[in-house]
Amino acid sequence: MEQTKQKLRTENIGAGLLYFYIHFVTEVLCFFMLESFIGDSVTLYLVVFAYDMLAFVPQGLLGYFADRHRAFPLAIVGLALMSAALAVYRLWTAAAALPVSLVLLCIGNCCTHINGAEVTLRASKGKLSHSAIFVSGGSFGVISGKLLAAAEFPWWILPLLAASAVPFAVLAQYYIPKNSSDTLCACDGFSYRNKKIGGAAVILLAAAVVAVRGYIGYGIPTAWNKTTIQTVFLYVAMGIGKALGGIVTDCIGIRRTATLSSLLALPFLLCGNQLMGISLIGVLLFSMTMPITLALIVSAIPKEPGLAFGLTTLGLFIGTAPIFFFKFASFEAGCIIIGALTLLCTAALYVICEKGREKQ
Amino acid sequence: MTWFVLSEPTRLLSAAAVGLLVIGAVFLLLFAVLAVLTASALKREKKDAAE
Repeated sequence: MEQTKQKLRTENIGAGLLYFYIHFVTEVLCFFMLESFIGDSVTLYLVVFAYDMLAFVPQGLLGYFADRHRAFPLAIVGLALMSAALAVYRLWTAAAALPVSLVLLCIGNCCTHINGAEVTLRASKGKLSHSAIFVSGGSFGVISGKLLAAAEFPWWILPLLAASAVPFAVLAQYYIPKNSSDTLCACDGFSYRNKKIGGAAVILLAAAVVAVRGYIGYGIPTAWNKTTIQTVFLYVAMGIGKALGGIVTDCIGIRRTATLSSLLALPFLLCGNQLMGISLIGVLLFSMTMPITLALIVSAIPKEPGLAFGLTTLGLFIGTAPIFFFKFASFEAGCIIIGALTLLCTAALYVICEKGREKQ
Repeated sequence: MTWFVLSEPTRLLSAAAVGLLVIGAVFLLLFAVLAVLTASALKREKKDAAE
């Protein structure tokens, strides 16, 4: 018991909590806006596809920049850009308002995400709870943004919400270690990968797992999800799962968490098509692998946490892009594909994760 | 004088095709840059480990 308490006692956990809120606000703004865009079906289809690409793919480039300019207040710039996007779309009547606001929104989204990853990974001293708590805030933001848009919430309150996150971003900036003379000071303690496997192979396999998880995430059978409150439960389970992924890894080790959560999730996901409780347990377990793949990529390039985070989001785009073109033909086909891909991902994670017990 | 106009399905299809082509081209460009940056980061990591 005392040992578990010791493992959970983490320095700088405040960075994760501050970024939980900033991430929450970011997703509220993004999904409020995405749900508010007006246009024909082709335009809306392209808007969502372009959002996925412009919000996910450039994060690597921005991460590369952030790794070299740690003092740059990216989160504040991001919050300002997203507020500007909202104002441009609502106040500018020209046809260019939609593409301009979409680009501003996506760049703003990239900025807050990269800053969150940069701060939480550097401040955590090798623990995973910090970045997992930061990542989990997004799920709560996505559903809140969608609900606010559906309720036709006044848009001008959203920039005020963004402003409320600025003090959080300022405070979080103090968590970045400044005592190193090395511009690219490493994320100390991130050694979650199997050292016998090359760094490039770890990055490729971890990114592939992210892509597969992104793809099957949209195909999880959830016939039970018919009401708003059920959708809220779904996103809450995702958020809690992401945070738990990091916390459990800090307690029982990365390989155990990765294999157990993936394998245990499978029966719950496949049997929970009509049963909300069963399905939510599956979604929670399934979401736990999210911070694990981030930890693996950071372990391969510990001096570049921003770039590492960007590679996970690149994998996410590659995984979600096919959803725009292909869907599972039937429930049975979905179950077989989800089962096979989950087993493959579990095997890949087992191979690339560090063998040792928990992090100290 | 206009002789032909695009039918509604063709107009929608061509709009989607052009949009997807632009998005695809931007993606490939960003992907290539990220691949180069990652390769150089891995190379630096290997060099540091050797030292």
